[in-house]
Amino acid sequence: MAAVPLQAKLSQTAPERSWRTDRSSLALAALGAAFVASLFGSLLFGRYPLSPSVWWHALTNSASAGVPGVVLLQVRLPRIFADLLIGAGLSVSGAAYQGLFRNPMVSPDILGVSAGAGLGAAAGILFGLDIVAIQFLSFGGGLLAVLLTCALAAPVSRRGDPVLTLVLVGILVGAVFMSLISLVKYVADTNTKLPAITFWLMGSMAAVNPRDVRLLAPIAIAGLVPLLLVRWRLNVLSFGEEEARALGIHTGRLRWTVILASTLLTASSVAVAGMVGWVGLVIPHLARMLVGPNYKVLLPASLLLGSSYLLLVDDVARSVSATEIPLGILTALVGAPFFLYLMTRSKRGWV
Amino acid sequence: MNLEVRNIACGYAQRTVVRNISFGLDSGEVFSLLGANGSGKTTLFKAILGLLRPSEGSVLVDGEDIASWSRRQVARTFAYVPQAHTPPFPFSVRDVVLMARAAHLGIVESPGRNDRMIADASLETLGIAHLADAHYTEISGGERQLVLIARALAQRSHFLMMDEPTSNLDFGNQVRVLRHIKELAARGFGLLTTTHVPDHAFLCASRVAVLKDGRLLASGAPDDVLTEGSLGAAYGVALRIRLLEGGMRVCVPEMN
Repeated sequence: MAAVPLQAKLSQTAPERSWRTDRSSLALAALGAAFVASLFGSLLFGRYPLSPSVWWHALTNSASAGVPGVVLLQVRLPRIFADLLIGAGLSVSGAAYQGLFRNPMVSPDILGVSAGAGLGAAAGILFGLDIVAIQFLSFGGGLLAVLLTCALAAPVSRRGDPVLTLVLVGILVGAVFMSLISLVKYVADTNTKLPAITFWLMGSMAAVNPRDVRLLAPIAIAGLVPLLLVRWRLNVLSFGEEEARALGIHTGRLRWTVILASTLLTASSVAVAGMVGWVGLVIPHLARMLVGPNYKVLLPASLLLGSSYLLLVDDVARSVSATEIPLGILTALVGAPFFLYLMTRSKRGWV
Repeated sequence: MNLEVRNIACGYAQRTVVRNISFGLDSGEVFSLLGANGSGKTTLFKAILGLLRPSEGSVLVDGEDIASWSRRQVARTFAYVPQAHTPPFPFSVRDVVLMARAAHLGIVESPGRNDRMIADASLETLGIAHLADAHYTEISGGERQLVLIARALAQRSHFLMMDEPTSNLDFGNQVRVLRHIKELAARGFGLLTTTHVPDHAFLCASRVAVLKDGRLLASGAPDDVLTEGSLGAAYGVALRIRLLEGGMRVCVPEMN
């Protein structure tokens, strides 16, 4: 057997950490600080400003806290947790999908999950169900749409690129669910249900309560943890199906893990907050500009950045005017021009 | 180590692309596969790498059929060097080379210090250590090809499978890659390469095979196999083989 070469050539001293590693850990630390700052800032800001001392009083002595305590524990805190989880979930799944589908233009709803979840919610509102049922229907609709995409793509992909097939079928399934949403809106009562559906689809955190967070948190964690665990392998996946397999990756297993985890994240966020667009597309780009494309750093960076971003945008949504601006409108309003800005100043094609 | 391809037939759903292919390769050898576009070279590569399941025959490593091997096991034995490409994201050269370590790391692991040392040593072997921090998407095509070879070395496999390693390279880079191929064989790797240039096979292959319409036309030592007859038949053009002083052979086409 051939002596495997190279071993002898290894120098005994560890290679110096490159400037790149230092730079990305620095950026990650800065993002962590930004995250903490936006978290505490969001606790204080709002139509009902809460000073740190009121906070302390409410947290240590919730029974006698009065109005500030209610604002804090029943309204603001759940909303902040929801912002944090949904911002993280959409950004992390967007980043993971961009690697899996080898395309920086991909967003988390590429396989139809948002359209499915939207249809579930719209149908729930149409049938006059209560909020819990609407949320379950929405979550289920998201899962169903992705399941449908995968099932329809399976026979086709045997004769071609499985990843490309998934994208194309996902667009088709998304389009069908979108037209079904239009159908539901068309038959809905124009005085009561149509506005409710329309408003819900715009995406908003206004109605988030502690129960929502209790439902959302375990699902979000179940989606985030596997993606964070396998994140380094997403690098290899972005070199394409065959190359990744030749490098020793079981691509099928990894692909289903990513799809399942991302679907849980996106479906649960739509079920709680409606359609909050552009976060899953813009945040991974921005994170990639800051820390580079290596998923080892990119995924935690996307998580921190996505959380901070949604916290800040939601601060604007709830404090800028007496009536709330739906969050989805703001994320699109901020996201689309910002994306254009990233495109124009990116030096390396699709950063 | 020894690789034996035994009577392989392989293809896609309804179409068998290659059939009745048999040859062997030992460590320290360079085996060059020649053949016209569409003659089945890439399909044969995919069959050996386990990316396509052969419909007949088997691939044996030291006598053991690899059909039941895991992806990880295959990757630890065969490293694939694709044609230079551009990934969608601007990874650093070191990050690209480190991806070779996937076959040695657990599913939730990422490369550590030892892996980085192996990657840097591989870059050094190819003489491109200075590119470690460059963006893979911004270096030249020739440099990218060297990075992919370095990545294959970092995979610590015994056989290197190079798919047209000299295509799209300028003349100087072609020669540089050929030199690396010879040197890697001298270090004990077994190399399986495809090429479109008979001269490259004359320059560095210890054994060659000519593929035509999915079948082996001939295989053996370059001087015996790469004749005016076999190459003319494989490519469908008239050509001449000339002996230079020093014993080297060159292949030149006839332009009538």
